[in-house]
Amino acid sequence: MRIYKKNIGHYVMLSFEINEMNIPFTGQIVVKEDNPVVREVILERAEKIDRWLQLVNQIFSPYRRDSELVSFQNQSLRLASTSKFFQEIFVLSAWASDITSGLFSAAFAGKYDPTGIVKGWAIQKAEKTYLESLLSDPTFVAVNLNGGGDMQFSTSPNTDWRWQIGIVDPFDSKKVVNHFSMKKGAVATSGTSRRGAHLFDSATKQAVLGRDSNIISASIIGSELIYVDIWATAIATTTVHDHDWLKSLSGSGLRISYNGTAERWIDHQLIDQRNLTHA
Amino acid sequence: MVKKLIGFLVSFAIVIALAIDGYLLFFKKESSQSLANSTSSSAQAETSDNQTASSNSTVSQSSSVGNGSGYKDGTYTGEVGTMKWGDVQVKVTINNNKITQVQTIQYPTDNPHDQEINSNVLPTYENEAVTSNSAKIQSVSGATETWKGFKESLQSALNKAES
Repeated sequence: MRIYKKNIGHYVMLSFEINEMNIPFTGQIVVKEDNPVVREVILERAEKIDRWLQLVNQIFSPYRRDSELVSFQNQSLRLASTSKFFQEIFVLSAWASDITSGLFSAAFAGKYDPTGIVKGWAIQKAEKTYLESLLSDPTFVAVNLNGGGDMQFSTSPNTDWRWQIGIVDPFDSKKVVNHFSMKKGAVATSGTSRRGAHLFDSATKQAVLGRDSNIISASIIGSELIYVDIWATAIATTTVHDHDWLKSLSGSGLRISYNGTAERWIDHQLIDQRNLTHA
Repeated sequence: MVKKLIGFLVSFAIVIALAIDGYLLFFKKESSQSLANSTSSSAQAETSDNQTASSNSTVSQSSSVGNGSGYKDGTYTGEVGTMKWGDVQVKVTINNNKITQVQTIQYPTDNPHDQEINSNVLPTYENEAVTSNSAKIQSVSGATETWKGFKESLQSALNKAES
């Protein structure tokens, strides 16, 4: 595994990349100084994260005949006999559907399918377990784990570092449409922009297609990736005319529809609406 | 070497704590069904979770299922799943692999950290393209792409630029 280096102000950012589950994961560790010991520690953590992601894939892959998910789907495995990680995701799926009033659904084509929740959960767990613990050493300033655009990050309290985070323009993936800075938290973006119709509207029982008022990109900012990821998936199934979800969702965010209408909100309040194509 | 030993001891302690936690939740299933709104039990759950510093979950059968050995499809009622992370505890009731009830308990937090988390997070509009050697942005959030290699990704460009 390679480590990439970037100097930012009086800090050094060291990054590594992992490919698991067809998702590009990026770990970023901000340090006060780059040295061989620091790099060795980072590589060790990167390998642990890689092994964790492999385990997650073993349990939840819908494509592996020996995964717990597939065994559970074809009823050869009872819930009580599954691993604690599978049970955790099962409970989370129910909670996700509950807090989003059914906008989030872990049922697809009549089967239990928690795919929409597993990635964010896996990232948050890995960041907390393998990266945040580095911050007890004063050499380490900040950590971030980003998997396919969903991330959980943290910063040592006694530093002036802030993560500068961009939200990708759904109409031009080389551009950033929005930007914010934070020390500690999470952001997730969901939508139909890059993958085609991969979201399923549980209300209409139809795949979400790219109609003008549909959401092409929904980004949710908060403290825990599990929560913001659930909500990003939920909001991506709404239309730009629908605001019922605002009362239930804490934190802030941005959503953009296919016709270029962008909306920002914070703490249940809509801040503004503008048309990006005429900006 | 000492570091590794400490790391091993810490992870060993976590495994022990998880095992105890799992034991308590699993075998105290009678009480766990009714603890949802009981503050003392909730506080206990919170303490044990802080010790393990991670979320955990258990699903336990609360009704009798024959002699308890071997599982038979279609005979299960009233399994209860509990999960806790951060300041949220979730308890679900499961019948025949289907969720029948969800309870969420939100613990109040006076954590000053939360203030920091929630300050200045309204995203601001940008019109500039982000160049790969930009120090302005370190990480980007976008809808998940299928694997096209790191070569084409904006995030990867941001990781690699030498400044």
